[in-house]
Amino acid sequence: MKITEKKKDNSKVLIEVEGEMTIYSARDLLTGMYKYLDKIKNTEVDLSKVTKIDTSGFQLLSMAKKEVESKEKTFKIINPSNDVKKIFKLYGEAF
Amino acid sequence: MAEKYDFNEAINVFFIESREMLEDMENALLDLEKDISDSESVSAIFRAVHTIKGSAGMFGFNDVGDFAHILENLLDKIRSSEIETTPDMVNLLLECNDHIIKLLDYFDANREEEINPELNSVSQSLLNKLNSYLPAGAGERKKEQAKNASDLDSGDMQVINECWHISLRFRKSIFKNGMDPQSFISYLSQMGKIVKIKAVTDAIPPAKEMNAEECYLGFEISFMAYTTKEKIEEVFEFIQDDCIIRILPPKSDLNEYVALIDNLPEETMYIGEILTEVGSLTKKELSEALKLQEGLKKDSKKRIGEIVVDEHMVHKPIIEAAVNKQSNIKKTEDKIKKTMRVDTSKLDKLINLVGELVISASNMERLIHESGNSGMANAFLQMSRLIDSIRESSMNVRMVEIGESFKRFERVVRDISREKGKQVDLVFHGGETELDKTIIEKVTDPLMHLVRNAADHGIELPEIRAAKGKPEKGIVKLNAYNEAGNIVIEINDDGAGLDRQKIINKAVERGLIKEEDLESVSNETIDELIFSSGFSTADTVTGISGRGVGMDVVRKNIESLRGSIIINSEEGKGTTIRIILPLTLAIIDGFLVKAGGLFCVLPLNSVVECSEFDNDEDVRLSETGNYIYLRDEIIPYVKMKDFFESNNETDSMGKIVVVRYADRKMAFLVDEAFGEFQTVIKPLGRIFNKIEWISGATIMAGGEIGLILDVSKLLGYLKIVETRNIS
Repeated sequence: MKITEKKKDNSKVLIEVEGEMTIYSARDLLTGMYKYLDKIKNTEVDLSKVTKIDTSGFQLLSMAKKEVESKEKTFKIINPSNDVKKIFKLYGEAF
Repeated sequence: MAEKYDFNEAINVFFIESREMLEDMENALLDLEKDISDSESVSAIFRAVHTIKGSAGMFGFNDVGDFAHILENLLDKIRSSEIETTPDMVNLLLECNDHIIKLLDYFDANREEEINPELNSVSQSLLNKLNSYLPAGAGERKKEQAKNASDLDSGDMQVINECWHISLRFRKSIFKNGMDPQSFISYLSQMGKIVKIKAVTDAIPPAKEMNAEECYLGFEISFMAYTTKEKIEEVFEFIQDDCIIRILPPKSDLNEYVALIDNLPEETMYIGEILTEVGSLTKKELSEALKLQEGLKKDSKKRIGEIVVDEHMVHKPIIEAAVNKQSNIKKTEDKIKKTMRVDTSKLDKLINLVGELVISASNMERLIHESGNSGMANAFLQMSRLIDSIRESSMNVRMVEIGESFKRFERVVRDISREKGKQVDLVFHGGETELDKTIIEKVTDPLMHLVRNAADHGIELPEIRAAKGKPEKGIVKLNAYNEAGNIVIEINDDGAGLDRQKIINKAVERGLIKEEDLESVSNETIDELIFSSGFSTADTVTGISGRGVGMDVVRKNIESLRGSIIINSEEGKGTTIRIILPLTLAIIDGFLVKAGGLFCVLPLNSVVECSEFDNDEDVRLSETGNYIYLRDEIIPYVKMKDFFESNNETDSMGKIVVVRYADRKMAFLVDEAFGEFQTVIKPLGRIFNKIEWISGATIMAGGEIGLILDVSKLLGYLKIVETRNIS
């Protein structure tokens, strides 16, 4: 699991998550998210390189969305990989 | 993919069960017609309509659901004695019953389509008639619901939604226990259709307080399936310790939702929004629920507490809803559980395998006997007993009592009596006679036709009957019984009998017989003519029969089942039609013989006797060689070896096997007779299709082929050969 910052300006940040978003990487993923949730900007998350996601990964995304939106900023997921699409479809969530 | 398939399967079950229920309903209606005050029949009818309404709605067949709804309204009023039953009303109810069948047929054939205008106009005209019995306004569904929704006092206020509502809240520990809710939701989606699902994320703490390995999620699901609460609970069985689950059946009491909202950890408004978002509650219902909740909180804290307590017992069988409507649905569900639907191809496979087992067991028996190992022989004896039981019970699975299908003829007879102003009683005998299900299914239509004919053409009008000195009420008798390994079904009426002059006229007109032959034609031959294609003697084409298609189709259908049909008519006294059918198409209790080096199996039930053929006083050949004298009886005789045109020489004089079919007997000379032999009929390839008198083949213990002979066809065939030889 790897989080990379792709782009950043004063109002917006684009993050890419790579690898697994599963219970095995959940702790690291959460820690990796801290700094973006400290100073919240409009956020885009690229999930095209996510190889695997489970409910804990879904939960982290839900949490992030909740946090970002509570600060009146936008949270958007772009390029979900097939696995991501699948869980979104199952849980009726599109972000 | 799987999701779609399973949903389709559920719809198929809906159609099958609805049709069954309509059949029950029809029977109940006929009972009601006989005794107009029979409240049990009314309840049965009500239950059927109610269940159809509910499940039709569940699957989105609103045209069926709406129609059934009005019907249910009327039945409800009849049930509560607000409206009195009249014969006209029963008639209308029967029409409605037929109409629902038509609607179901239509939607079964055109799953996604709109109702066609023709059916719709029938719906409308029937609904108008139904509504005319109802007090003004009571029949209109939408109004009633609106009324319900605004009526706070109503204790059994139901929500409109026809889906199950499932609330899931996972415990924090679920991930640590190695479970992922994903797999359970996806399993659920295979059981039915997840109409809408909404993740409840309210409980997820801010990032800094969150433990990423704990679960804070929940889901609210609107789920469409034809299932039971237990079945849904089973889906989550593995995680029952790791989640709180609440299931509300379709159309639950609004109170149940109030309790649900109250009992969920989230804010009332938040959860309420989600419930409307997944479509389980309408906005209006939600606001009613909130009002109700407020009211309950003020007035009776205890009561809501009780509901909450109830709600905690998640694994208790279906919530005991206040509404008896739901308990009715449950009743039928219980009934359904006692029987299980199995694909017939699975049964066929099982029976085929059992057949193979029987064959290989007899092979083994031979080997064991040859080995002379008595321990093994004993063990085998026990095993062969078990194999016998397996064979019998697997055959039994396919056997169905024929009485079930007799019942539906009552309606036919009733309709004809009404339409024609006749009085006809339908009497059953031997309804408990069992027959292979496939055969029953295929024989029902021909039987229906014959019963219809008997009532329509056979039984005379009451005046005519009285004039002839017969009772005004005619009787059509249906009788089923076992005979010689066959099932015989008799349809008998005490009506006018066949009008032979009319048949002759028609036959001449159609060129079926020549006028100059008329003198020599026997009564039987004339009667047989009605089985010719395109033959109908009815003067007018009625809605019921006389369309000129019929008896020929009946005969073809019967013959395709390896059965035969015989007609026997006496002018002025009535007609009897006998249908002779094989018991089953798979296994035969036979009598094994060998002739000309060929093994043959005769159906055991057709074998009358077997004796040494030594040309003495008891058994001797006639002078011509075509007959034998068996004691005092003269029986036609065939040397089976010659029949097979075999040159195989044997020294023994052979044995005589006498077979009987219907009233005819025939003696066969065979080389050896082995006695009883139970075997599985293996169909022969298509090349043998034309040889009627072979019904199949079997593999003998030594690997040889044994031919299974069809005695009825064989006798028929020999008769033809005989006449050919004479002429």
